[in-house]
Amino acid sequence: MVASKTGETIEQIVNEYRGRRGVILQVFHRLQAAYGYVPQEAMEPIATALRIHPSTLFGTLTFYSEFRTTAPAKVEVGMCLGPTCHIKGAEVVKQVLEHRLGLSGGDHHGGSDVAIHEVECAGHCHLSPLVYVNGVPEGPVAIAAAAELAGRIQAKVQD
Amino acid sequence: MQTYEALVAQAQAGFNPTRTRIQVSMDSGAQHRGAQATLDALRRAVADQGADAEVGIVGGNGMCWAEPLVRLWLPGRAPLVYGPVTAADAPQWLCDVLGGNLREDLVLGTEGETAIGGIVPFSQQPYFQVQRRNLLARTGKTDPESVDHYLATGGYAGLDKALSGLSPEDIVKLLLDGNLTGRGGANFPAGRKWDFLRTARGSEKYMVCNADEGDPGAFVNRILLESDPFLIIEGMTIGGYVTGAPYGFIYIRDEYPLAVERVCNALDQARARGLLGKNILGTDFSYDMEVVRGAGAYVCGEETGLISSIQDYRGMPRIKPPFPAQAGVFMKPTNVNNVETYAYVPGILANGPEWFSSVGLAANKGTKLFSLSGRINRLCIVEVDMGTPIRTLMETCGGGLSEGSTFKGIQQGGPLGGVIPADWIDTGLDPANFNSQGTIMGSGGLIFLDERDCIVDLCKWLTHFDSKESCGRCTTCRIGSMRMVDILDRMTKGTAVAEDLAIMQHLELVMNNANCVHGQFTPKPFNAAYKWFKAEFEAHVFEHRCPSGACRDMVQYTIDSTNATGTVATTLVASCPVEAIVPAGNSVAIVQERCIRCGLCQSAAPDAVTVGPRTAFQAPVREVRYG
Repeated sequence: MVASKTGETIEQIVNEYRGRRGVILQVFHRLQAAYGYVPQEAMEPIATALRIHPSTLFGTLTFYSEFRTTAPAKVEVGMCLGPTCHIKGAEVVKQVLEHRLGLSGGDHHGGSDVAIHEVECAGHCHLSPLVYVNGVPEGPVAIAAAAELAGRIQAKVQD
Repeated sequence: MQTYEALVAQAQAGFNPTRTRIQVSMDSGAQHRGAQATLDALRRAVADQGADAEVGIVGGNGMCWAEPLVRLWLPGRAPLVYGPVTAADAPQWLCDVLGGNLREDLVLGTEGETAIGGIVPFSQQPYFQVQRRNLLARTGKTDPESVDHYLATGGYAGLDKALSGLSPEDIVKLLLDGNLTGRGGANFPAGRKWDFLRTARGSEKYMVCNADEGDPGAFVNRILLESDPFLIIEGMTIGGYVTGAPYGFIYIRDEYPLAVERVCNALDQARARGLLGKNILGTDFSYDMEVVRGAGAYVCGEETGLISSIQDYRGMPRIKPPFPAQAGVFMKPTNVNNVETYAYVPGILANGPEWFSSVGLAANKGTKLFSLSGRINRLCIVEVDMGTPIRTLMETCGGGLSEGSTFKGIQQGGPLGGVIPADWIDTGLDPANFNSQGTIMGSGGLIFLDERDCIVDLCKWLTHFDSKESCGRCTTCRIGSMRMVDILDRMTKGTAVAEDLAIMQHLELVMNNANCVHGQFTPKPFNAAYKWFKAEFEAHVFEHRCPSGACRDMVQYTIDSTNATGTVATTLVASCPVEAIVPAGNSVAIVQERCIRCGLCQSAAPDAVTVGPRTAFQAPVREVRYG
C-alpha cells in the first residue's frame, strides 16, 4: 500500500464517520484523495465502523466508475468521450494515443506508467476533442496533433 | 440573530464599488480556458502598476465562447464585460482601461442601459434580447462565494417573505397558481409534489436536490451550481419550510468539483448568517442540509437510484411505487426536484406567481435553460421562454454553424432523448411538441449536428452510453441494451442484415418492460433517429455505406503507387500516426490491419491516396433467429 498523500491514515478517516449513515461516498472520496485509490485494507475497518456488511460495501465501491481499487498510473490520461468530442474525432485521437503509448484497449491500472480512461462530459465542448493529462485539460486535440500530445505524455512518464 | 433587513443593509453597504473593481469570471468553463492565469496576471498587474483597484471574482454568465470574461466596474458607472482576456493580454488591458481607453476591441458589452462610445448595452444585443434571464439574473454579476453579494441583489427575499406570514399551504398554492413544473424533463407540478410530502406522515422527511446532471452535452445546472449556489439553497430551504422536512441533500455529480466546492462554501456562509440551521432568521423554523458528492454513475440521476446512492447502497433504481414521497431516503418520505425547479421557487415567492406564469406557453410556463454545443459556433448557456423556436437559439445565440456546413439535426434530451431533423428548425422548444412525436425535450442539452455527422454512429454512441451506465439490476435493460449496441455496431461496420432493423424494433417492445426509465428510454434515440433518418439507416444496412463518411469501418484508404514515390512517399510515411504506411517496392502501401482510417495521409498527399468502400467486406454468414 502506498503512503497517504494527505497524512491521514485509514483509521483517522474511518473514525470521523463512525456510526453515521449515508456517508459511504464521502469515506471513499476521502480515502481516494489520501491514497489515490480506495485500498482493500480499508474495507474491514469501514465495515465495522459503519456496521455495513463488507460485501455491501464492496458492491457500493465497485458500482461507481470514479473509485479506483488499484493505485493510479504515473500519468493518467482522461479522454472525454462526450457527444461533441465524439463527433469531432475523439475516438481517433484515443486510438492514436493508445498506439503511441503502447496501450491497447482496457484500463491499465495498478501503478503502471500511463493509463487511458474515459471521463464523462462536463460541458467544456470548446476544447473538444478534450484530453486530460493528470487532470490538466488539453484541447482541442486535432487528430493531426494527437501524436505530438502522445510525445509530451511520454516525456511526463519519463521524468 | 440579525433580521433580514439588517442582513441586507449590511450586505449592500459593501456591494457597490468605491474604487475600480475588476472581476474575473470563475466558473469551470472559464477555468478550463485559463481564467485562473488571467486572475493571477491581473492581481500582479494591479500590484505592479500600483493601481487603485480591487480584484475579485464573479460567476460565469453563459457566454462560454468568450471566456475568460473580465468585468470592469468603475465607481458610479455601469459594469463593462470583456472577453476573452488572456493572461498575456491582462497587464496591457489593465493599463489601458485605467488610463481611460475602454478597449472597445475586447469588450462584449455593458450591463447598463445606455451605450458608452461604441459599446452596446447587453440589453440591445440580439444574444440577450431573445433571452429572458429569470434564473440567470445574477450569474456573472455577483461573487458566487459571497452570501453578501447574494443578499445585496435580492437574495433571500423569498425566504423572508415565506417566514414572515406565508403558511406552507399558501406557498403550495402560489406554486400551483404559477404552475411551476419540474424542469428535469418529466414536467410534474412542483406544488403537488411538495404537497405530497407536506401531508406525509411523520416528522423525519427529506428534501433532495438532483444535481447529478449526467446527460452528456447538457450543462445547464452547472452554471447555477457554480455561479449562483445560494439560489438553490434558498429554494430548498423554502421547500423545507413548506414540507416540514428538517433536512436536505444536494446530490452533485463528481464531474463538477467546482460546484461541490461552491455549494459547500455557500452552505457554510448561509449557516454563519443564520439563514440555514437552527432558528432561521430568528424564527422557530429550523432546516439544514448537506452536499453529497456523486462518484460517476449516470443512473443516479434517476430519483430512486439517487436515493439508493445517498443511503450507502449501489445507485440502483428500483420499481415505483412506493414513490419517494412515501418511501425515499432511509425509507422516509422524500421530495426530489431538479436544480432549476428549486432555483425558480425564491423568485416566485418574491415576485408573485405571475412573474413565472406570464411567460412561456399555456401548458408549459416560464423559461428554460439550454446548453448549446456540437457543431455550433458559440458554445453557450442561454435562458429563453418556453416555446422559443430552435432557429432563434441556433442563429441568434449560438452564432450559427461553421461556415459552409449544412444543419442536419439536433441530438436533444441526452442519451435517453433522441435526434430531431433539420426541418424542426422553426419548431418551438416546448415539451409538448416533442412528446407528441414520441421523443422528449429533456433537461436542456442541445447538440447541433451537420452533414459530417452520421446519425447511425451517433445512435450507437448514445446506446453504448446507456448500456455502459445500465445499473444491471434487470436483465431486460442490461442485456437488451447490449444487444442494441451489438446491432448498431454491425450497422456502422457494414455487416448488418435486413433483419437487424426489425430486431431493433422488437427490442424496443422488450425494453419497455425494464424496471426504470433508464431501460425504458434506452431505445428512444434509435426510435427517433430511425423515424427521421430512415434513409441513412437503410444505406448502412442494405448498401453497406455511410453517406456522411463518419463510419470509418466502412471505408478503406489505398495508396496509388505511381503517385507515391520519392518525397511523396516520405511525406506519407511521416503523416501516419500509427505507422501503418510501410515501404513497398519503390513506393509505399497501407497495412490495412493497422490503419485506423484517420485520413491524415489523404490530407498530406491528396493525389496519392484514394478512399473507397472497404474491399475486404464480406457478407456476414449468420443465422438470424427471429419470429
